[in-house]
Amino acid sequence: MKRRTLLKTFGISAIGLATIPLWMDCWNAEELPEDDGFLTGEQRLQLQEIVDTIIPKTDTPGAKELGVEKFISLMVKDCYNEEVKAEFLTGFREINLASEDMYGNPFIEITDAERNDVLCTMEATEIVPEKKINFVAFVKGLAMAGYRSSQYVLENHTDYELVPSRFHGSFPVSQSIYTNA
Amino acid sequence: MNNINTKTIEENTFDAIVIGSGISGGWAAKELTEKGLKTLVLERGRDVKHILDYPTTHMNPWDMEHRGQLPFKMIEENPIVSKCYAFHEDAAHFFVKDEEHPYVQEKAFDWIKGYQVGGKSLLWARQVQRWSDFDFEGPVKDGFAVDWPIRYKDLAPWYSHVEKFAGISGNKDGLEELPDGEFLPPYELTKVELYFKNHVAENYEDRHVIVARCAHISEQQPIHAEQGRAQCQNRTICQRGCPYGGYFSSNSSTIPWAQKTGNLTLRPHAVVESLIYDEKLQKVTGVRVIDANTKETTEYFSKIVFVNASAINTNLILLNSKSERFPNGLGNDNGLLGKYVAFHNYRAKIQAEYNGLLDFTTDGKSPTSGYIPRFRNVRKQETNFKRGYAAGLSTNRTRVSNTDGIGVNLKENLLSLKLGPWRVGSHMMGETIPKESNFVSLDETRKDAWGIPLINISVDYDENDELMIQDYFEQMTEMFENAGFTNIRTHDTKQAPGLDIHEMGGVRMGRNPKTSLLNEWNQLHTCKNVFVTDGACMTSTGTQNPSLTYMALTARAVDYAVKEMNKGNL
Repeated sequence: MKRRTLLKTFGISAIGLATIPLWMDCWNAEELPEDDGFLTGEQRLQLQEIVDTIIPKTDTPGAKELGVEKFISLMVKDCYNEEVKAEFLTGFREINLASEDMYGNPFIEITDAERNDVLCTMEATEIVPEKKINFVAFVKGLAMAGYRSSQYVLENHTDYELVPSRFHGSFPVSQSIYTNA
Repeated sequence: MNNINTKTIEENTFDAIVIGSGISGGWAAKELTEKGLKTLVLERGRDVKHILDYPTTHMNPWDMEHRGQLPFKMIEENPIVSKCYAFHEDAAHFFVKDEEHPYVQEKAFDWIKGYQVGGKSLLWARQVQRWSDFDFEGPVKDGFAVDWPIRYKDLAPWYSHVEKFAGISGNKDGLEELPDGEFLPPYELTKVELYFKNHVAENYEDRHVIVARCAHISEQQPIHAEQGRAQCQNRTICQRGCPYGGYFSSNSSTIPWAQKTGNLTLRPHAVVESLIYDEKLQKVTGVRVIDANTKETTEYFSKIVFVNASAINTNLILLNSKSERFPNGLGNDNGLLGKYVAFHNYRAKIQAEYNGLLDFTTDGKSPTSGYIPRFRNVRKQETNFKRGYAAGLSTNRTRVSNTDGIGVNLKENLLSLKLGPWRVGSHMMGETIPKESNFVSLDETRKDAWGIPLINISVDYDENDELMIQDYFEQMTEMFENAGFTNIRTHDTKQAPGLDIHEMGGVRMGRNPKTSLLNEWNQLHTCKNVFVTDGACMTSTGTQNPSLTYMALTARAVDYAVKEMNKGNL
C-alpha cells in the first residue's frame, strides 16, 4: 500500500532513479574490469557493451547499469554444462570477427548503431547443427531474465511484492497496473 | 550392572519415544507431552528452528545468486530430487540429496525426502481435504486390499481436533464425499474459477468445483496466537519456511508447543536402526539409534513407541527390527510388512486458455487453488476402472510482452507487460490400488552409511492407472470445452511413482492380524506398545492429500495409547 502511494506521488521513474545507487555497482568505462574467475576483463567489458546494446539506458537504467553482465557470467559459469560454457566463451571472438567483417573494427570500438546491426545480424543467423547455442540469442535470453528479475524492474515496473498480504480473485483490470494485450 | 550403566539407562529412559518429527511425528509429540508423558523425539536430520533456520525466507528474487535456479552440478548430481517441483535455490537445503541416503529402484521410483526437524512439513503443498466413508469403504466395496477397521465417524472428531489447532482455511461446501471441517474463512476463487464452478454446477449433477482447503491461517484465532503464529501473508513461498507461521508445520506449531510443556526431549542426528524387542517381556522396550555424524550407537528406552519416520522409512525400520520372535521384522507374522504400498497417480495434467472475462485479473496471491473432488465411481461403478480421481484447478492471467529484436524497442516491450488470456491448468490426483506386488524390502547385501540395509522399492502403475488417466483427459477436456476454454492440451508426464510424494502403506491397518499389521488404533497387532501413524499405516489411498488424515490418526492413537497406559494395559 505504501509503495503504491509513493509511486503515485512521485512517479515511477523518479523512484527508480532515486533508488538505483543503493545497489548499483558504479562502473568506470575507462577501467578494464577484473577477471571474475570465469570471464577475462576484456570479455566482461565486451559483455557489458553487448547487454547495453540489447537493453540500453534510456530515461530508465539499462542492463549494463543494473549489472546484468555479472548475472550472465555467474549463470553461465554455474548453471550450464561444459559444452554450452565453451561455446559461450568462443562467442566473444565471433562477435569481434563479425564486427570487423562488417565495420572494420572490434565490437567495443564501433558505434551504437553498428553494434545493434552486428547483434541483429548474428541473432538472425542460423547456427550450424553441431552447435548448441546462438551466442546472441543465448545472451539476449539471459539478459532479459537478469533485467526482468532485477530489483529495479520488479519494484518499479511490475506488481511484484514479497508480502502481498491479500488475494482478490476478481480484480478489475481497470484498477490493475496492467492493461489488456 | 554398574552405576554408570544404570545412570545412562535412567537418562535414556522416557515414557514414550516418537521416531520422526515430520507432520505426524510432530503431532504425536504434541499430544503425548500435553498428556504429561516424558517424550523423546528422534529426528535423523539436523534441527531446524522456526524462523531462525529459514535462511532464504526474506529473500527477493534478486537476492538469490542464481535467481532461483540451481547450479548445473547440483542438478547433475541429484537426478532424483531435481525432479521435485519445489527443489530450487530457495529451498534445496530442506531436501535430502540423492547420495545422502541411497535406495534401490527395482522399478523406477522417485523417493523425495526431507531429513530435518519438521521433515517434509516445511515443504508440503498444505492441502488438507477430509476423507469420507466413500474412501474408507472403498476397499470392501470395490474388492481390493482389506477393509479399513475405522469409518469416518471414528476419525471425524479427530479431524476437528487437529484442524482447530493447525488452522485450516476452507468453505463449507456440504459435500458428502468431501466432508466439511473446522474452517477459517476460505480464500477466493478467481473470476474464471467461479465461472467454471457455476458452469459445472449447471451441467453436472455430481461434479463440484470448490476452493481447496489448505492449512493456512486465513484469520488468526486465539489458539494460533498462543502458538506464536500469525495470519498468512499470501507470500506463497512457503517451502522456505514461513516467518509468520502462516501455514502449519511441525516447526512452527507442534514441536514448539510440545517443548513448552517441558516434557519434550528432541534429539536430532538420530538415525533409528531398529526397535528393541524384549523376548521375555514380549514387547518393545526401546529404540537403537546410530548418530548420523559420529556413527555411535545409543539405546533409548520407553513404554511405548510411535513410528512416524515417513512411510518408506517406517517400513525400513520395522523390517530391520528383527528378533527371535520376529525374524522377518517387527510384527510381521503374516509376511505382509512392506507390501501393499500405494501412492497417488499425478501423471496427468491439462492446460488450456480462456479468452473471456478479460475485464478481470487477480491481485495479490492465493496460497491455495480450485479443487474438484472425486466424481467418478462414487455412488456407483460407472467406468471401466476402479475408484477415481480428484483434480486441482488453477487459473491466472498470462503476462505477455513482445521479445523480438533488441534495443530501445525491446526494452519498452519488456517494461510494458500486458495481460494475455487466462491460463487454466489442472492436474489429476488419482487413487491407486494397493497390491501385494507393490512392495518395499530390505536389500540383502547393500548397506547405507550407518550400516543399515538399503531399501528396495518395487512399485509401479497398473492398467487401472492408465485407464484412469484416459478418463481424466476425456472428462476434463469435455468440461473445459463446454466452458469455452480453448487450446486444450493434455500431458502425460510419465513420471515415476514417488514424485507425488504421497507414498503410503506397507504397514496397513485392518481388522484381521492375518491380513494386516495394525489394528483400528494403529497399534501393531502382535506388539501392542508400538504405534504407526504416518503414511505407512494407510490401507488404501483415497484421492485426498493425505497429511490431514495422518495428523488425525496420530492424535486419535495417542489418546488411545495414553488411556491404555493409564489402565495398565501397556
